[in-house]
Amino acid sequence: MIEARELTKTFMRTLLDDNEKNKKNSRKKGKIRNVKEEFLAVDRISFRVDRGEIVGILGPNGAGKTTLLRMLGNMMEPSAGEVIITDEEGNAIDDVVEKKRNIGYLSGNTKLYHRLSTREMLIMLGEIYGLAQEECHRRIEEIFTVLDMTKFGDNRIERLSTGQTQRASIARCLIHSPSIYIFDEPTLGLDILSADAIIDFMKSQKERGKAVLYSTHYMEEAQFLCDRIIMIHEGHIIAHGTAEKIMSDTSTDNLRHAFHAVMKGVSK
Amino acid sequence: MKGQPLKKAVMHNSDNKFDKKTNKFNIIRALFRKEITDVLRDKKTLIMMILVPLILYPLLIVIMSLVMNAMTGTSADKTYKIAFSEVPVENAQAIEALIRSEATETDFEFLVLEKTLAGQELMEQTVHVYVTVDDASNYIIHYLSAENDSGLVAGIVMDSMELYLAEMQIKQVEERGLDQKEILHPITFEAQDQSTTEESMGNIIGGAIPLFMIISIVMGAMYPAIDVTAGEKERGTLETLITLPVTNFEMIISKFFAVAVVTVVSALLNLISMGVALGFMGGMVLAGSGMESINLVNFLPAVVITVVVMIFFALFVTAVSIFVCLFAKSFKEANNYITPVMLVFMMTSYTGMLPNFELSTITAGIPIVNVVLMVKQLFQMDYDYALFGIVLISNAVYSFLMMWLLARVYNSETVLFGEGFSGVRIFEKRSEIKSGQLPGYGDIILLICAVFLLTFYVGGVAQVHLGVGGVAITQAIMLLVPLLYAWYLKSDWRRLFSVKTPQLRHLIGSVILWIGCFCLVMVLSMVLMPLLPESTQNVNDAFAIFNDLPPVLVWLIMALMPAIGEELMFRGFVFGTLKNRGGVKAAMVISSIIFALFHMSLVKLPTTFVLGFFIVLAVKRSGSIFTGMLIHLLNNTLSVLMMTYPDLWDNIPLIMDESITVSEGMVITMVGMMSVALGLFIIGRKKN
Repeated sequence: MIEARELTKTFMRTLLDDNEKNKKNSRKKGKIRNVKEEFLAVDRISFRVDRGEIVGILGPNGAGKTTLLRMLGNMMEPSAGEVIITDEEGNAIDDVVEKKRNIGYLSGNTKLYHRLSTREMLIMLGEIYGLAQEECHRRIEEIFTVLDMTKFGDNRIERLSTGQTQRASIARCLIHSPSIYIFDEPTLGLDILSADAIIDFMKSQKERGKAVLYSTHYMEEAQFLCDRIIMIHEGHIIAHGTAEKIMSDTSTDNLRHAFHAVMKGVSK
Repeated sequence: MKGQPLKKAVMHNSDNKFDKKTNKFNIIRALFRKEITDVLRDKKTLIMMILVPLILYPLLIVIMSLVMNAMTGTSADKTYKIAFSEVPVENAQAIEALIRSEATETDFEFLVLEKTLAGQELMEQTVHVYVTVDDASNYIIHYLSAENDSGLVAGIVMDSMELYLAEMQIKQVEERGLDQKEILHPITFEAQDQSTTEESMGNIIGGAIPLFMIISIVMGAMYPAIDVTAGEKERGTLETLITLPVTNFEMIISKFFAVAVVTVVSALLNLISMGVALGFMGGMVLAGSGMESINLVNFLPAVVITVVVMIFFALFVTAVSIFVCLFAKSFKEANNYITPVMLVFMMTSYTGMLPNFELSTITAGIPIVNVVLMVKQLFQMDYDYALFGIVLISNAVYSFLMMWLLARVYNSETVLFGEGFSGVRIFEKRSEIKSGQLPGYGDIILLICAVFLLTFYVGGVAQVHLGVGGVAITQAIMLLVPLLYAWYLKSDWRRLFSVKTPQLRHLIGSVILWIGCFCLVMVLSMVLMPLLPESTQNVNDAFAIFNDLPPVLVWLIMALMPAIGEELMFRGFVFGTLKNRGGVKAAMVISSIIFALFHMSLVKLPTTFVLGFFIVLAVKRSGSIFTGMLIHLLNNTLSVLMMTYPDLWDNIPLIMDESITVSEGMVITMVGMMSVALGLFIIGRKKN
């Protein structure tokens, strides 16, 4: 189980990447004041994902999805609030490194080591996760069989096709058998086959009692896959519930329209 | 995988209970192995590491020896033509014989030509040299120094003429029946070298070895350092790495070790290859120079200790290179950052070539320089183990400090997820620069280098020609360059230079702060005096050119101008940039260090640092650079007064004293600290 409690992240934005609007204002005033401007990427977001659940995060670009997921993955420190992760028995884990052990994190930015083969990479990961050697090799064989990777498991990753690389990425998240999966736009830019493979993978993990949290831009995908949907905008949750609930709240018949309706409500 | 449930891949989480203690080492080992495999499978690194040393050095040596041969050696299949005009036949024949015996392996053709014709032929190089003689038996050897062959033959002819002269002298002395020894050789002398041949060879190569060593270490560290930092960011694997249950320290330490191993191995390969190549060439050069008897085994201790110090130094270089590259987001950017740093390393390694610059208790503590000097000394067979110990320890300390810094910096999210820092902005076109920009970190380095070079060359030349005017020009450079730089960047100069009208309390506080600062600096310099042998002598010399000037002018040039110029540069440009880009504390320390280093005096290093730090404290607290200028001006004014009116101070206790008692020192320290505290209190804190 993974829970976000009042998670907040502020970034310091310097003038260098300020937008046009700010610059104009500062010109008018004749001098530049807010040199470093605080920017709230994620503002007091709370929710939880339980075992056997898939929760989808939806939101426009720049809504704070990636920052939120990075904090939940314990890769980025929240400015305020906390991430609570409990093990199978329901005991909260305190140590950040221990928390990461229970998480499988996958995003468009988590590239693989091109100069290693999948097997080499998995062995390295096994050592880092502290698996015994035989256990590690056994798992690698299993993963290779299940993901149908035996043929290219020993090729360098740079020589794999996109689909094969995607499977290698899944293998990376699987090796330590985490209880929580966090996927940041995992299907972005993939062809139907590769995207389906990921979706099937998430479903199978859900059936196995894992908690799955993922962000996406594909409304249809989220609609049929997710148990719950969280829509965020400018760092805030703007809608939270099952797809059906959000649709009925906005009196729309599909999630895409519901999303537009919710966004419209916010901008008013 | 459809319909194929991953049932077996589901493993029990209870397997995941590991022993944390034994894990840490395993994690670092696994990460290290990954880094090193990753680095070694990179073609660029491999080429830099193995191919370059294995091929480059032998190739270089071959080319060099070819060039040297072509320049100095006479070609065997060439016939050199020497013409005599108006030289009596018997004299010409005698000279001819001497020339032939002088260069037995070279073919000569001797002609007798009419003078103008000989001149023409020399121009056309159908004759290489022609010799004429006048009535006063003055022989003239006509040649063309612009032509290699002509110059070469002229040299041979000149040597032969010396012999001919000697022959003539002997003949004359004999004809007169005089004692040959008494007339021609009333005394004899010879030089006897008491150095062993190894020592003299060590002296020759001692300066060159550290140079090559540092270059090879630096080149070896560069690519892997970029690869594991910016390269990892560019390839997008950094985020993958962060998802793993490893601490930042484990990540950075494994990267560090991977780069260090590659660096050491590549440096060793370089040195071995160079040693072998040099050995071959040395054999060629030394043959016939009396150094053939060299026993290379005598160099073994030097080589072994060199390898040890090299490893220590490689750790330091590795840490520095990784540190610099951490801030870059791409290979290209990292390259931009690391190149100047590497140049500094390489330039510094030239200090080994400086004569009379040797390892001492002071130089043994200076990074880079100490390694250079130590290796040089090793090859001169001069083993001073106490100094070597200092070098090794200080290198270990520097490496450790850099690693500690690395681990600290690697935690910050700017490094992990940041977009990289903007390095050097000045290379952008001014029309494309948005106004209100801050300079980058690279700009600071560039500015300091520019000011340093300008004051050194332009200021130096001006001082030689213009004297005092030159000093004024030097100060003007310090003043103008930062302003011009900031203008080009369209920086917000109020923000960058902390331009703000100070309040009265700021000024009063600054004066009191300066009094305290002066006391502390005085005690500090008294304490340091015995450690640093150079005394105030230099300062007095430097002031000699001001003796004839009106004191007001001296004050203007030596007190007021530096107070403005140096403040604009260090508390303005440097501190302003650092403060707005990073932490204020780091900005204060770093700007003070740069300020101290810029004064180019080891003796004054600690005191200038302290002074710089108090000034920056005042500027930070008041938010106004004018407080800094005031303190700086007071400080310089006092120095100028002490130099121009030395008599004035005789009756005032302490200020001009060469030494003080411990109790006096304690009292002054107390007064100084209280005064500093009071000054800071009056200045107050900057309201945000």
